[in-house]
Amino acid sequence: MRDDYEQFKAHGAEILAISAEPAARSDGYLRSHPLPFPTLIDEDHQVFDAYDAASRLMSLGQRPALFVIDAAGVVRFGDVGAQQWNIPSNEAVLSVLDAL
Amino acid sequence: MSESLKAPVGAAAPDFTLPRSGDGTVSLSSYRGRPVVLAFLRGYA
Repeated sequence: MRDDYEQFKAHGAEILAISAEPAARSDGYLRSHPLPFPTLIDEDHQVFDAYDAASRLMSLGQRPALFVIDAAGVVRFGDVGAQQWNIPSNEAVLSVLDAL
Repeated sequence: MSESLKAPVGAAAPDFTLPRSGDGTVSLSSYRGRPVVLAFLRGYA
């Protein structure tokens, strides 16, 4: 997503990354591996939970998830996976943006 | 992979305000008027 950020910006979209890592750890990591879009810290998992991306009974921790929210604040695409590599491809997300 | 039960397609996205790594806070509602891709990370980006 970092690599295709320009394409997302060309669609007028902003990317918000949400991490459940403690702020101190995230800040340290991001200083050495900066991202071109905001990374938000959800240590209490409140937003993970609000989007159904918190753990289910048989899984630990948080689940990777990706949502596309349109200009009116409506969910237009949502996907919650079990593993990081389950997230949809950038091409799939860009096609959702194309269709808005 | 599955659809979110709490934030299904067609529903209003739950608003939030969170601290931004680095400084400040960010609210989802402040992006109203443009699309947003929300990427929930397991671990780091």
